[in-house]
Amino acid sequence: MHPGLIYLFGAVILVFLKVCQRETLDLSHTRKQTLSKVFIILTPLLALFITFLLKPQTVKFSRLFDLPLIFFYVDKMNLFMGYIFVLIGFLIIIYAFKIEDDLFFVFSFLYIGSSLGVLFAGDYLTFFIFWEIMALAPTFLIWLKREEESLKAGYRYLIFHLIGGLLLLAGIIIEFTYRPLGLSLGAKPFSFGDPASFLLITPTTKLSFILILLGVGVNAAFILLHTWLPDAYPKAPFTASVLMSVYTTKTAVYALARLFPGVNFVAYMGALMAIYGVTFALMQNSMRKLLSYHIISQVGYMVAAIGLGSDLGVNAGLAHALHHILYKGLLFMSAGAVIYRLGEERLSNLGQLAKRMPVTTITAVVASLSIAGIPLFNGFISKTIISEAAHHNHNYTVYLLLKLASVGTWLSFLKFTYFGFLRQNKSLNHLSTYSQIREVPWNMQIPMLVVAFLCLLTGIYPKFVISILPYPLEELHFYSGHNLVGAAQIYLVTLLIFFLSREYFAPHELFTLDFDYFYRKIAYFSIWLCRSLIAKVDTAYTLAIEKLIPYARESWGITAEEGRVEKMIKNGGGIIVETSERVNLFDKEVIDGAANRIGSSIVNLSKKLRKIQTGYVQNYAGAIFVGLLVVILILLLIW
Amino acid sequence: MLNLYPVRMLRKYVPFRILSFLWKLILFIGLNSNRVYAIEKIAEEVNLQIEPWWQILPGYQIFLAIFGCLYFIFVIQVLSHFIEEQKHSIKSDVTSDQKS
Repeated sequence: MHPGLIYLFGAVILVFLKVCQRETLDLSHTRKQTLSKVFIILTPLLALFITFLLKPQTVKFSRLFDLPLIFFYVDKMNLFMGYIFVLIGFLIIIYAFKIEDDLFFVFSFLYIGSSLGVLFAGDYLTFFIFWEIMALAPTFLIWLKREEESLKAGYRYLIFHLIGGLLLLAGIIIEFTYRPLGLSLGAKPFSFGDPASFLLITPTTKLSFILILLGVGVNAAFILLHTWLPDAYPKAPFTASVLMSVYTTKTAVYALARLFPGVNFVAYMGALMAIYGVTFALMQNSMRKLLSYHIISQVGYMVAAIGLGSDLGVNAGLAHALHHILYKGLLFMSAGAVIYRLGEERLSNLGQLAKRMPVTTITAVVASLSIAGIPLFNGFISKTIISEAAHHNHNYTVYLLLKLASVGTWLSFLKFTYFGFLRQNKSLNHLSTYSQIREVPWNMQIPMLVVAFLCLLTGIYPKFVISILPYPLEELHFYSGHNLVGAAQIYLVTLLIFFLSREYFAPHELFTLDFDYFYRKIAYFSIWLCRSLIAKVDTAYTLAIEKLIPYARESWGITAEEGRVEKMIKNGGGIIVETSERVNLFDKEVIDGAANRIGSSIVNLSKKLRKIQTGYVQNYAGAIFVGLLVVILILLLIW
Repeated sequence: MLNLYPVRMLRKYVPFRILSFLWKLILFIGLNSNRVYAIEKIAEEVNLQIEPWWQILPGYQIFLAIFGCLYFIFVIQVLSHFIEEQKHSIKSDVTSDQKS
């Protein structure tokens, strides 16, 4: 059974359950709530259970109409990612289940389910369908904050991901069309009836390679394509931020490991991302914005490792993805706990939380030590494997850039924990609400503690993770004297410099635009161009035409009484006039006409659709039931 | 089950590039490239871990950490200054984003 389908069915059933409960079931409000909550917990638990029962080398061929698809493909690589996806999904649902409403869980299930769908896809078409659902579901999660800035950020997120999806689709179409012969499963020739035509393998043509890489690159937050990430994550509800920090970028990392291992461009892009993300993170005042930039930086490590190629590089990238999911999820959970209790996430307004919120502070410190790569924490393990991969590959540029990024990471998280949780902030003592701050509810504490424990466990006993990596890993001595002395030198010197120069890192109000700055400049330039230059050209053109017609009449001796321009055209003199008139006609009839007709069609359609909103719950339930039948029918066709 | 997703081969092991700085120095003082090649072969034979020259320096991580901290302090100062100067030219969204 596909674990993604459990989540997707869970989302549909949750909607159905909610509608049925509202009107038909004769239960008290509390019992209705309990029924939904039990279902919300059971769905991820079932997915978790099923994923841990999966065996590698499971393939399920299916057929959608005449297209042969590999809807469900399990091997060591996607199973490795699948384990952590379902585990963290379950923990995040527990974290959120007392805070959020059912709508949040519907979109969360859709998001997690589609991410698992991407993960276990064996062909490009399945991959693309789930990829697009994965772009839509977080948009709704961002909008759930129901504020204007979230609405705008959601739209920007959607635009970026739709562009990414289009690039991916273009690449897939080119790949389908030009994939060379002889790439079939057996010795069969290539054809659309052959599953080999759709296999999810490294693109075979140059153009499809570039387009698919860029499409995946949008989700992986390649530099220049990354601005959606620090823009959208801090503007979503904090529970949604936790969820989004896990799935979108890590699914892209998996796609890169699957499709583009050993590509030099990917390696250098990863190293650049690592430096770029950490530089901007250091300038942030908002907790979640700092963490968002650190996603770019940490994903950069994974991308660099995958770009280095070899079994070691891919293993390093995936191990870092797993560890990152744990500590970044934990960091977002800790930040969320602070927002939940204080309604504040600006580091300049925080501090001395250790006594008031001890569990949150401890988990934040554990996660910070993990992401920084301190020995005994899981970040140290995966960063050591990445360094080894760079070393084996003799790519010392990437090696040095990643080492430099690790200095920046340590500085950022010294800033995060010191200014956010540990320092004495005298300005807070005057606040009456500050004395009332207490620890978050148990349902938030338990997932945080479990993840913190896992960060330590995978750091102290790395074999847990290494044993399930897709490729066998050579014997690596993580805690060798060389590694420990090297790490101690970097981290102790950085710690010393941080405390000597902490006023340079002190958080303060600063608005960072990043590449948004240039994108917005381009947008303003386009508007200016339309309003000034193009509008002037348009006016000049219209005036010229108006003046040209009498001049033409005069030139070719056509009097005002005779005055038909058509006559002049028939006489063979008025090519310009003819062209102008036709262009004018085209402008009025086709362009304006199309805009008007589309507008009026939408208005008419909306008037008709309004009738669907009857207000009767039976009608809604009927519509959902029909929708469910359609989904089942499609699934039956696929199987 | 066929292995449908082969990982690319590890790139060719080329120690020449790594120690290029030292090799160039050796070549400059009179050794020829054949001898350099011979040294490489020996290094491969005895399975030596060939390090780049800066990794041989004791405590290079200390220099890296100092350089890294100075780099980040410098970049933050420059970028902050640049952003402060430029943000006034951006009209829309800035105010709403600042509130967040």
